[in-house]
Order: sequence, then C-alpha cells, then structure tokens
Amino acid sequence: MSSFFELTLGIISATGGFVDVGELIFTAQAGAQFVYSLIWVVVLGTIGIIVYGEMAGRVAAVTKEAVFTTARNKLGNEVGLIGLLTSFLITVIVCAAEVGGIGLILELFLAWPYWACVVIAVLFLLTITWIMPFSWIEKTFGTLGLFMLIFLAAVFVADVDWGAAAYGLIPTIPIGVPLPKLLLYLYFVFGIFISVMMPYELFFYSSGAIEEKWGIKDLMTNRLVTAIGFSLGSLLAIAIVINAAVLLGPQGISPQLLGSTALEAAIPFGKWGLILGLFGMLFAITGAAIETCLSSAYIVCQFFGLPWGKEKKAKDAPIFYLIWTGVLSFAALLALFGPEPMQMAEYGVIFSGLALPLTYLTTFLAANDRKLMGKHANGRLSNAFGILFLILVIIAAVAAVPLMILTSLGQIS
Amino acid sequence: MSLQKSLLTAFSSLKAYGRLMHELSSRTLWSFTIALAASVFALSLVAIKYLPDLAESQKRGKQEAISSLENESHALEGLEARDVLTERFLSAEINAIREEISSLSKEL
Repeated sequence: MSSFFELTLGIISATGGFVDVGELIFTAQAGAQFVYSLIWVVVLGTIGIIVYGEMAGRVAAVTKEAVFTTARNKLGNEVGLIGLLTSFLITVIVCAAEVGGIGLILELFLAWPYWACVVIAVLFLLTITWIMPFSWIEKTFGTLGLFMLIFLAAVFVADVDWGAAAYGLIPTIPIGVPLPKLLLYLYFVFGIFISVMMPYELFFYSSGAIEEKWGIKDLMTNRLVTAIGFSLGSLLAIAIVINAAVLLGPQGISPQLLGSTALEAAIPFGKWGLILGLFGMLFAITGAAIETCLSSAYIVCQFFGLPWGKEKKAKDAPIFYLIWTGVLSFAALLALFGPEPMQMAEYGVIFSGLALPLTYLTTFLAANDRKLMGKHANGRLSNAFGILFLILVIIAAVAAVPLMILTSLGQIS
Repeated sequence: MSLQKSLLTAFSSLKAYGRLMHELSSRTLWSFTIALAASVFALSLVAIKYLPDLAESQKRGKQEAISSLENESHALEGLEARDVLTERFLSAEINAIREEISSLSKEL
C-alpha cells in the first residue's frame, strides 16, 4: 500500500510539475498564432522526455550515479566541462526566468510593485528550499501544480473543433506560406520541443532518484512515473495550446505576458477559474524555480565529485548549499535588472537547446553501457528511440538560435 | 508499402547503431562538440547575413510586439468581467501591457 501511495504521489508530482514558465509561453503563443497545428510537437517532445527520463532514472537507480557524475566518466574531463559550463549557465538563466515569472504572478495577486514581488519570491524560495526535505519539495509543488487542471477542464467547456485538434497530432510543415511565417512556425516547433525536453528536468530527475535512494526495485516505479506522469503533464501543455487557439487567438490575444495565459481559465470559469489558473501557474513555476536552482548545484557537485544532496546538512555539503543559494540570489538580481522575464524565459528555452545534445548523449551512453548497467542496459527499443531523439535534439540545438535571430525572438511574421 | 519498408529499415539501422554506441573516443567527442558549436555559429552568421540590417529587424520585431500588445490590450478591454476579482485582474493585466508598450516604445 505504501509503495502504491508513493507511486501515485510520484505520478501526481510528475504531472503537476511538468509545465514551467518556458512551456507556458511557447504553448500559449503557439496556440494563439498557429491554432492546433503544433500539438504534435508537444507529443513528440513528451515521447522524448519519457524515453530519456526513464533512461536517466534507470541509470541512477542501477549505478547510483546522476547525469553529471556519468558525464565526467563518459565525456571525459574537457568535453564534460564544456557540457557542465553550458548547462550551468543556461540553468541559471532558466532559474531567473522562473523567479521573474513568480514575481509577475504575485504582482497580479497582490498589486504590489514587481521588485517587491521578486524579493518576496526569492526569500520564500530560499526559506522553503532550505527547510523542506527533498521529497516534500518535489511532491508538494508537483501536487499543488495540479491546480492547472483547470486549463484541462476549460478545453471541455470551450468550443473546440476536435477533428481539427486531432489533425494537429499529425506532424506538418506548412507549405506555400510566406517565408517569415514558415520561419516563425519552425521557431515555435523547436521552442516547444526544447521547452518540453529541458536539460534541467533530466538533472533533477536523476539526482532526485539518488536523493530518494532508488535501487533496482524502483525500476518499475521509474518506468510508470515517466510514462504516466509525463504523459498526463503533457495533456496540460496540450490544453494550453487548444485553449489559446479557441479562446485567445480569435480575440487577437497572442499572450505576450504570463497573466494573459490565465485568461484561458478566466474566460470560461470566471473568478474561480482565474484563481485556480493563477495558483496552478504559481505553484508549477515555483516548483520549477526550486528544481532549476537545485539542479545547478547538483551538476557542479556531481561533476567535481563534491558532496551533494538536499538530505545532507549544510555543513556536510557546503559547496552544494553555497551554489544553490547563490544561484537563487543571482537569479533574483537577473529577474530585477536583466531582460524582461518573458524574454528571459524565451532565451532560456532557446539556449537550453545548446545543452541538450551533450546531456542526452551522456545519458544515452551510460544507459547503453552493458558493463555499467548489466542486464538493465538499454534494449533495442530504447536504443532506437534513444538515437532518434539524439538526432532530433542535435537538429534542435543547431536550428534554434539561428531561428531566434531570424524571427527576432518570435516576433516577426 | 515502400514507405513502410523504408521506415522499418531506418528503425533497424537505429537499433543496430544504438547497440554499438556506449563508449565514444575523446577525439569523436571533441569533433562532435566542435562540429555542433561551429554549425550553430555558422548558421547564426547566415541568419544575421539574411537579415542585412539586424537593428532594423529588431526594430521591426519591437514594432510587431507593440502592435500585438495593443491588440491584446483592446481584446482585454473588450472582455466582460463577471466579478470584482476578474475586473481587478483585467485592469492589472491591461496596465502591465501598457507599461510593456511604453517600455518597448522608448527602446524604438
């Protein structure tokens, strides 16, 4: 019963913790501008994160090594260090975007100045991350993120053309449209794909498996949490695309600000829809902010073989604590004095593409190593999907930044 | 039928290649990393070349962003608030959009 409860909680937190600020922006704008035609990208990215999340969890459960411990072994010190620097810098930017996102939502709730909301947000994050045990952090914010189910409920109230939405599941590239429109479409294809497969998700998931002392007996839990939890989470992302297509796009709203996405719940359900939608977004983004700051500390400590873990006391893992508190504080400064939070979130997603290939390659190499994994090494199916998604993340890494330049951060159409 | 056959062949190749791939030499990893960085750099340069005047393009991007925000603001003003909270939210959101428009306008 206890393990069933743990499994259910794991699936729930994976579902509620699936969406972050980058996904909110890309999916809502994609729906408003391209209606249902980009739903397939959410599905494709979800399959990718399921495949690689499962691999990362399996490697952690079998070898007791997280992604960046294996990175040093599999990539060597020099290439591993390049991977570490890229991943660290990008994770810090994403963390700043999440902190800025919390500030924006608090601003809507409290009607206080943005700077005050960011300060409150970072103080709350520092306190909660310091005092809460790892499993509580993950499960609390993942579960509270389920308030976002209101967006799924909105789909059933909105006037959705289900045939057209189902057609959106088929991968398409628009032919015969003007070049700028095609480039914008491709920008959103890669933006959504990367936002679903963000590298920090792998860092956090594999480190979490070690924090929770997973072993061989947890391999089935790993499989179910990734397959069911991430699939249910992606339904929320698809719901945001559909709602934006039906409720926002036709009214000329292409959500440039985070608050506009909450309208997807407010338009059909009024006050309570708005409250639930904003709460769901707030908790999901708060969870992502904690995941990103912890992930940045995880990867540095894992790479250099330093003690790490939320379950350790600060005096036993001082560098780990120093890094995540430093990253959170720096993220708050970036949110206050850097680019606009929404712009920063887009930069975070697009530049995260650069960290994807080395992160995913490391995970693949480790999961496919029979000496390391024994009978739990990748099977043929995992290998086929693994290679396929490795190719796709390489294409995404190469294409995303040029497309960002060509579309001026998704603004030219 | 031939498409199905091609897909099956491709899938088998992926499986076969995947089986071999669990250890890469340092040279391969360096080549991969450099090729990746070089491709991103080269394509970004091409993108910048495609946009002969990057400043002009960014200006156009900002103008389009302002226009989209103005649409959003008008749409929000047109929404009927059924209660006080929604009304307050809409007003806060409209104010945020106006601030954003004003900040973008200053940058132009």
